[in-house]
Amino acid sequence: MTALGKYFVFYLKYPAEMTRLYWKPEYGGEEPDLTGLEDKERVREMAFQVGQAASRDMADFLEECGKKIEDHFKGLGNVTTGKRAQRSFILRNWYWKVIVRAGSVAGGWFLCGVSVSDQEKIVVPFIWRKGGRAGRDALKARLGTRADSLSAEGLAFYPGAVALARVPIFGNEEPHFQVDQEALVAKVVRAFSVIRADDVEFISRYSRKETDSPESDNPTALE
Amino acid sequence: MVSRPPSLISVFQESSRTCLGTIIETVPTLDRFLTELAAIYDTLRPQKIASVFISDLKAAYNSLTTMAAADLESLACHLDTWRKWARQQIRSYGKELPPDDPLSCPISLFRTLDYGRLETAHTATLAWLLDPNNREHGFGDQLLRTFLGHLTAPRQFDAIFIERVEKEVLIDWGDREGRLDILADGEWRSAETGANKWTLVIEAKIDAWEGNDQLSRYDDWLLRHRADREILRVFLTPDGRKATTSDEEWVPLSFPQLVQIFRKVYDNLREAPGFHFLRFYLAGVLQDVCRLPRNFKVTEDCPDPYFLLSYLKTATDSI
Repeated sequence: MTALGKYFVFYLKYPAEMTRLYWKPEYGGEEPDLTGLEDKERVREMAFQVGQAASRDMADFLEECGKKIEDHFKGLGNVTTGKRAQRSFILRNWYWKVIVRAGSVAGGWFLCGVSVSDQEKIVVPFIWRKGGRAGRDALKARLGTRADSLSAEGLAFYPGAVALARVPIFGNEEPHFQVDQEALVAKVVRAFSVIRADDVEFISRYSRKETDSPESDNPTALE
Repeated sequence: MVSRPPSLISVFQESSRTCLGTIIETVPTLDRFLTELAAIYDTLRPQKIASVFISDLKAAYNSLTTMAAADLESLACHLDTWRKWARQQIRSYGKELPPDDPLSCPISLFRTLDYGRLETAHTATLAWLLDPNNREHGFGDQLLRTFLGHLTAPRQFDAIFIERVEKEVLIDWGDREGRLDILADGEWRSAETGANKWTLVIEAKIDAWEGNDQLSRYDDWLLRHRADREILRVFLTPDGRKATTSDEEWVPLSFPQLVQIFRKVYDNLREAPGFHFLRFYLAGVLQDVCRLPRNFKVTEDCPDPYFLLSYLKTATDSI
């Protein structure tokens, strides 16, 4: 069994602390209030190292999910994947994404991705197409019970994203260091396995009503 | 040996010969040109990365600093102690929280409309709240003063004057248009510095990302239209992340920080007509943007005890 990276697990065990000690100084502008923390400087240094290592573990995990998700879509036949999140993007934002296109629908595309919520300790596979609420409602209507019934707001960083599942990283247990990474990846990928070739065509075709191409629609989001 | 694909130039040479037929045959200079071009082109091809570099890079990556198990346990101990301390503090501060605090309010202003994370709803509301000339809310300049005070601390001003606060300000980028979420102009005066004009720009992102060069384009516009003023740039997001599309200083501000800034003066606004609007708005920010649970109970088991403690201190300090 390949265990989920131990630093990643550590981060998930202490998300509030690690956000303050690592993520905010690294990616945010807020100098954290460390009142009440003993041995501040040493703890900061340790937390920074762990935070960096945790981000690497997390990115490795998401990239592994990403490879298999892309394999699934390409295996549907006449489906291609395009721009995907670069590692630096994943490290900063804790999610992976890729553009998906149906070959039969010129100009049509949508986004699929996987995000990690450190607060809720879940992994969220999601799909997004342009069109905000209308796009979300069309996606939900198409997917029916194949989509998660709860909102993806705040978990997938696009308005109107539809979550396919909420995969708990630790099940019902407290965070522990023996999470089977392969099994977790398989659960995430399984959420996309419900997306069929005709779904890809439908979602791409619906997206094509929006005249923009992915490159013109907020292209920094695709880096 | 791996066969190399034909070079672009050799393909071009071949197709040129085919297409131009006898013309090529009778123009030796063209053939020589193509041959020499091919030779030059081959020198420009990128060199294959040495395999030893790749393997060294992999080895370096795999040996990146990893913490000994004992140090990881030590870090865990420190964090457990910190969390215990925070929870104790929450117990004592939590008792002093007024019953009408937004933290305890179950009603989100925008949730029933499904607008809880809609950027334009928030920026329109912020512009309305920050405008001291707005008689509807009755807050005067209190929210604006505390907001500007946060941005300019530790500077103090004797007086602040507002010329305008606007939302969705259309600006011209030449080939495209853009919109500043919130633009405010005014003047402040102090005994030390006299009167100085300022401009405040707020760009909010909730579930969206900066557009291509978005903030640097705003900077260009500000340079052209507000060069004679001190410019305060704010990048407002749920997590307080830094902006990435500008070289200028866009101050990162998180929505939790925004709530705390307004909370400082919240108790002074109870008699104002807009008080309950503010209460429901801040409750909505906490629930919809900051993802605190509805009907939140102030207990030590909050997922982020540090934010809760900081908020409680702000709330009780202002009483």
